[in-house]
Formats: sequence, structure tokens, C-alpha cells
Amino acid sequence: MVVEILSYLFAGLSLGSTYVLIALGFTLIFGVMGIMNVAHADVFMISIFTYLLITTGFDMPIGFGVVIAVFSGALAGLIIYWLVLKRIDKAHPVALFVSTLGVSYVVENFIAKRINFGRPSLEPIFSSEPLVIGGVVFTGPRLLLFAVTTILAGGLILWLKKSETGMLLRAVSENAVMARVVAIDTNRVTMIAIVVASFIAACGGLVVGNMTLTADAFVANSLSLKMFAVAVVAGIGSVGGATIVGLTLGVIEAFTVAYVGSQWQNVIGLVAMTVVLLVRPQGLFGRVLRVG
Amino acid sequence: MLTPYAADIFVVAFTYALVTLGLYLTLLSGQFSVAHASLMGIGGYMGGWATTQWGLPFPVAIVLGGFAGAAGGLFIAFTLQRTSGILLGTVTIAIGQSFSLMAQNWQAIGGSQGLGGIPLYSTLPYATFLLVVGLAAVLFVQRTNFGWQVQAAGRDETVAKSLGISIMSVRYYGYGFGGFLAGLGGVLLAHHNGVIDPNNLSFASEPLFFIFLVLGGYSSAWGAVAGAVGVTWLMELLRFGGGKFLFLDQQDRPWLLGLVLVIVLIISPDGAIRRKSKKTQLASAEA
Repeated sequence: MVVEILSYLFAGLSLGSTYVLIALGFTLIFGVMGIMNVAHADVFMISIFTYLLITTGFDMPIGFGVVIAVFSGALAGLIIYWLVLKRIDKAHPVALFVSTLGVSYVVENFIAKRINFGRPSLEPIFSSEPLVIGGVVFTGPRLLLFAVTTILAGGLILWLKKSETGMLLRAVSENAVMARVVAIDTNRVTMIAIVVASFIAACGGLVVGNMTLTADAFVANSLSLKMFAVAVVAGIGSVGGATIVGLTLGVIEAFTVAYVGSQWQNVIGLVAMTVVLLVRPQGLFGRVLRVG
Repeated sequence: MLTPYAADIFVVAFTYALVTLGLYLTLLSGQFSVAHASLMGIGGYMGGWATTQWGLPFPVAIVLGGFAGAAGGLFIAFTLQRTSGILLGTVTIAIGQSFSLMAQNWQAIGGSQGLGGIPLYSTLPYATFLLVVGLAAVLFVQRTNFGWQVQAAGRDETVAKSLGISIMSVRYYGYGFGGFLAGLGGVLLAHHNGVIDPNNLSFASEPLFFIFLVLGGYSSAWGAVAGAVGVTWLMELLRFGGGKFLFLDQQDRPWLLGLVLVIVLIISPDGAIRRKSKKTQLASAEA
């Protein structure tokens, strides 16, 4: 019984790690730009496909594939920002939102067409003998995912708190107008935020891909829902909150699948989001207002 | 007269036009919705259920489907009454998706297979009639006092509120009426394809309506209809010549359309065609 619960807990934490890795960047981008970047989840997918292209397509070493994939994921986020987000007037929030929707539609369908709407399998990046401690099985890819999440989320929170750039970023996300008044280069800060966010998502793509071992061009469709749910429940813009809520959601989902039924898995996040919006619209860890 | 093929495309185009009109109406009231594909799907399920299981005549099914879509829209408006703006838009994605998940897990209405065996009642006269009535209703309401209130709230919620316009009633109108039109479209779609499945409801089918709306322009009801009909026909015409054009084929259409959407948004965030009446010109000059 204890073993069972512990294994579900571990499964839940690794599931939640996926949500955290994708929601962190989303909430970060919302913080500095005030926009809902639907296309953010596609960075996750782009890094998986870059890895696939390098390792399976060009037959290059796996380490090289990982580096290029992370790099191209971060670059993809930046390109989306340069080409689209930056060029649309912020006075048209609907246009901005629809454009990110459009970008994600383009990227997904373009890549899906190139692979003829299939689901190619990936070469594992890292695999090991499963670790068994007291009857609980810890598989390698899951441990890796969990470790990467801990490092990235912890690193991001520390970076935001301690480093100078991190403080600038927080200043912009708290009040963009005031940040401009005190001569913070908001454009530069936004770009840094986008690169960091996309980097985290790209790493997430790789470690999750390492676990599922398939590349799905439309993964963002289901993933972005969790991304919204986590970010909204935590309070949009709250990085620490997103980490906690993401992990919690993963654990709850894992227990639901185990004890209630797998068809309810995707419902929880949506219900939680709806309830939070009704009761506490700024989210569990959210600030009340965003300016600018 | 039209060939059966052309009539068929017009039925599809008019169906999409109804849903796009619903989306236009919701956006006009200042509410942002990415759930219209789901509202359409709800209408489709309701209509399909009415004709197949209850054996009701098609016109009754149409009305029922419309009300089902409206109920879905009102549910969204009610649930999200404490959020607004772009956050609301994002959350409508989630609500739409949860409708889709519900349909997927609900075995009684066909589960992931969808509701099949729906009689093919959608003919061009029905589609034309519904579109004309829908368009006329939208145009009429826009000219009433309440219609102006809705547009005022759509432009600036704070100012509208200070003028004593009830934002909640505007919202209920936007989502309710918008959902009604989407529901009508759904009934037509279900009775055109003979089946309605959870994929019709999902987030993945949403960008299409934004493409219609952006290419037609957000600024008028006519634009919404023109966008839907024009783009549907354009997509059909691309099919000729074996569907091949340079290195592209039919399955390249989604991303090409998406690309057009993004480019249009960058060049002109208000949509491709901007038609401004005298009154809105005055309004925007003052803004």
C-alpha cells in the first residue's frame, strides 16, 4: 500500500514536472509582456523535432542533437517574438492573442505535414536501469525529468530574486510603465525573458521526449491546456506559484488515474481553473493588478 | 443553376459563416472567445441527437441546437464573470476543450467516435435561410439602442460602465447570441457531414474561424460572412488541378492559411477589410 502510494506520488511528480517546465515560461512571458503566448507550448515541440532531425535525420551524435535542440528552441521563441509579437500593436490585444494562435497553427501543421502526420519515435537521450528503493521503481527518464525541473525551476526563482537582470525582469513584470520611467530597457528585458522562457520549454521538450520517446506535432494542443490551468490557478505571472501548482496538479492527476479512472485526468485542471476563477480570479499566488 | 458540388460547398461556407458571425458578435461585445468551435459542436450534438434519437423534424432540431449553443455560451459568461480581457479568452480555450473532453468520455453520445448516422438534411435553402435570418438579426440588433450599448461596452468597458451600461448583460448577450448562431452552424454541419465528433469541438478547429474573421475584417457583420464564404471557396478552388501547386498539396492548406492570418494581423491588426460607417468613423476619431 505504501509502496503503491509512493510510486503514484513519484509518477505524479514527474507528470507535474512537465507542466511546470511549460508553465514557467508562459507565466514569465505574460509577466513581462502582458500577453498570452499560446505559441509558447510549440517551442517545446520544436525542440523535440529538432532533436529528431539531428539525431535520426542527419544521424549525428545524441549530445550534439541535445545542444542544437535546446539552442533552436530558444531561438524559435525569439524568432516568434521578433517576427510577430513585436510587430503587433499592444493596443490590439485580440490581434496579439490571435496571432500567437495563428503562429502555433502554422508551426504545428507545417511540421506535421513534413512528417506526413505521423508520430515518429525518438532515440533515447538518457536511459538507465530503473532504480528500486524499497519496492518503489524510479525509472531513469523520470528521474532525469524531475532533476531537470528542480534545477530549472529553482534556478529561475533564484535568478529572479538575486541577479540584477532578474530584478529588472521582476520590475518590468510588476509595472512596465514605471520600469520605463526609471530607464529600464524593457525591450531588452522582454527579449531576455523570452529566451529564458523558451530555453526552459526546450529543455522540457527534450526530457519529456526522452520519457515518451515519440514526437507528436500536436502535443501543444493538450499541453497548452495544462499550461493555462497551472498558470491561471497559480496566478498569472507567479513563477514560484506555478512550480507548486504544477507539481500538485501532476500528483493529483496521477492519483486520479490510479484510483478514480483515467478519463477524469484531464478534467481536474480545468475544474480547478474554473473554480479558482470564480472564487479568486487573481489566482492562488497572484498579485491583484498588473500595470502596463 | 448551381451544380450539386457547388451547392454543397455553399452549404459548408454558409455554415462556417454562421459560426463566424457568432464569433464576430461575441468579439463585438468586447468579450474574447476561443470557444466557438465548441459552442458549434454543442449545437451539432444537440441537433443530431434531436433528429436521430428523438425523431424531431429538422427545423425543431435547428432551434434546439441554437439554444444548446446559447446555453453553452451563457455558461461561459456565467463562469467567467469575474475575469475579463485576454485572460478570459485564454480560459475559454480551456472551457471549450473541456466540452470536447466531455463529449469524448460520454459513451451515450458516441464517445470519441462521435454521434453518427445523422440524416443529411442540410440543404442549400436551409443554410441560406438561416444565414440570411442570422445576418438580418445581427444587423437589426446592432441598430437598436441595446446594440449601441453593446458596441460601446466593446470599445471601452470602463467608460461604458460609467454610463450605466450593464457589462454583465452585454456579456450574456455577446456569448448567448453568439453561441446561438454558432449552435445553428453546428446543427447544419452535423446534418451535412452526417456525423459530429469531439474533434469538431476541439481547440484545434478554432483557428479556422479566426482566419475567416480576420480576413473578412472584424469591423462588420458583412465582413464576417464574406470572409467565411470567400475563404471556404478559396480553399476549394485550391483543390483543382489535382490539388497540387508547386511543391504544395492539400494538406499544406492549414499552415498556409495560418501564415496568411499572421501576416494580415501584422500588417493590419483590425483585419484585412476595414469597413467603417460614418458613425464608427466619428467614434474612432474621438477615441
